[in-house]
Amino acid sequence: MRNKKVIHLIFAVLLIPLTVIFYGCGKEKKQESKSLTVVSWGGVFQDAQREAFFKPFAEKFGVEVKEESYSGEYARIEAMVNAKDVKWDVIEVESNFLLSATKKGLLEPMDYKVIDKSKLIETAIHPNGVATIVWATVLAWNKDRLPKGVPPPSSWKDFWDVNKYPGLRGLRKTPRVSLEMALLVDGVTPDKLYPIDVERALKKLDEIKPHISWWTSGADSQQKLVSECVLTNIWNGRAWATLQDGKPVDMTLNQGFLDYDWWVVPKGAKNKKLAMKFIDFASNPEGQIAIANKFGYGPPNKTAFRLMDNKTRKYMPSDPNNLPMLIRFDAQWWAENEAWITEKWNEWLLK
Amino acid sequence: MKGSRRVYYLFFLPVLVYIVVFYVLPIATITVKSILSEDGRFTLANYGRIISQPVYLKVAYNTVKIAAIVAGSCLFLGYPVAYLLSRSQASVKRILIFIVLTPFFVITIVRTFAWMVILGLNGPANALLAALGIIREPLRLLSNFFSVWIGLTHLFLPIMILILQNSMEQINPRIIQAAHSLGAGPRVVFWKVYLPLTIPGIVAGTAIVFLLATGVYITPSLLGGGKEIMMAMVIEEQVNSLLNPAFGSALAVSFAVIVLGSLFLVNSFVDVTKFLQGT
Repeated sequence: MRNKKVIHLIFAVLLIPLTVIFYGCGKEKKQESKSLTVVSWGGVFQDAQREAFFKPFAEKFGVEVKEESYSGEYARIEAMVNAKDVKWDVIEVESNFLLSATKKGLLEPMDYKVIDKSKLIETAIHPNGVATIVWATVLAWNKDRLPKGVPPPSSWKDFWDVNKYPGLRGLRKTPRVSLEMALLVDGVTPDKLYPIDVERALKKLDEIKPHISWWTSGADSQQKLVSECVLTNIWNGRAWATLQDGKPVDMTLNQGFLDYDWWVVPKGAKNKKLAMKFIDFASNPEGQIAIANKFGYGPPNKTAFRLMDNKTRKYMPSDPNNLPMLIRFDAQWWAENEAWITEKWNEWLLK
Repeated sequence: MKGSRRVYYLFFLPVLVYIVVFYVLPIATITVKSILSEDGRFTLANYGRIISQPVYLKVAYNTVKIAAIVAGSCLFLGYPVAYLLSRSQASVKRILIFIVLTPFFVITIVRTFAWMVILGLNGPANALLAALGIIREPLRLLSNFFSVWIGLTHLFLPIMILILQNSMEQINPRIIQAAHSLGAGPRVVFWKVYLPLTIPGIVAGTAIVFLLATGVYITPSLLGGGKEIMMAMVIEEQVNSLLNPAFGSALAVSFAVIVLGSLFLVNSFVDVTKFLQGT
């Protein structure tokens, strides 16, 4: 008798996960069609997106917007699509994922009958994605650490000039942009940057290697700019946030590297039609201006600038006045070459 | 009687199911993924690339080296603390254990950020050194081997202490008394009697900390400079930035084989059971 009880107990324990699994499956099928799951990068950024895009969209169209956050675990999206169990409808992704996912066929094409192309700048339009922010990797500095009487830095040449601007330099621990910076300083013109001469760039980077303080995340770059670096390469939004915090920093968009974040719809998304409506809605100026004011990332909407003040416009990468001094970051070239460059880069780091 | 024994084996069933679902299956999936090409055919190209590119061997060596140094420092720092713990009275011990475990109440990423602030160029560590007159210019304590070493040692020290303490408490105090009464001085007692008796704990603690340290990701990526690249960072880079999970899987499998193989080797050299029999 006792044995039987033990066996029952064990079965009962084993049944718990099964029940949970079945309950989960049942719930899945009941999903309503009038809801949309949007995925972004979390934190204060997504908080702002909620006010700028998600809530107004939900109100206007009478739907429910569900939110999730991730931090660029693109492997998850690939796994979802391959398993044909796509829980996400709209995702904000970086250029490298837009391009490689397009190649792998992981994305739904944008429906430009629903999304009004004409309100967007030309570079914000891709067959499988629509840009949501225009950002740049720029040169920023800590005003308190500049030597007295020396004018603020104006280009990447100053980043290499350790006599004029002594001190640590923050650099993102990735070959992206680092190699381009090195080549520009070594005399390559912006139109001749690609294909990148990796050996030449690494040789130029050798010159400043002992002065580099590596950063890996956006928060990290802000922290290092405030606490120990004189100069850094940094995402313009992060420099903007540091500036808004009242810290003694400033930046120049000159020679900044222009890139985009995109809205995409994963292949097999359950609420595709609503997703397209959302992307069209999020391309309107109102929401984009709110994001731009708070984070300094430029709006891809053509008319948004007319509604912004001059002080803010000065820092907006997509402002027509600023575009000439920025350099196009070739995400396509990187998508094709990053694998072998990363090996060379890691080897260089370990040296 | 035999029947009831068999029933007790059933208690292992949930653990077995758990291990199969969350351990064996994922590892099998990763292994299969690493030997399939994009169109689903068998290939060893990923492993060929690992062998032909010296950078991956360098990273593996780097990882093993850092993990070994961290395990060694945890042993060195943890041994006296564990000894103190094993010898103190219950009331004192409770407080000491609480202090040892406190770091566990704070998640790794917060602890790591705390070290970034403490070790920064204008952080408290440099301020202290300057106030004591030891340095004039602030030292670079961050983004190098030193900061990774501190961060990881801090992370794993409690685990080492608890394992050592456990093995020390199992020592029969009469053996020590017997050694004393037979005329051995304190030094001889420690080196010839006490230390050998704690070797199982030393081996277990060092092996566990070593294994855990080979898999760390957050600490070396935030506290490390250019040179402190560890295996988990390279694997993450392949899976998330370069969108090549197959190659990342191959790296994970190869490294697991290297680490487990080297542990197996060490285990066959240092025969733990032999030491146990000696007692």
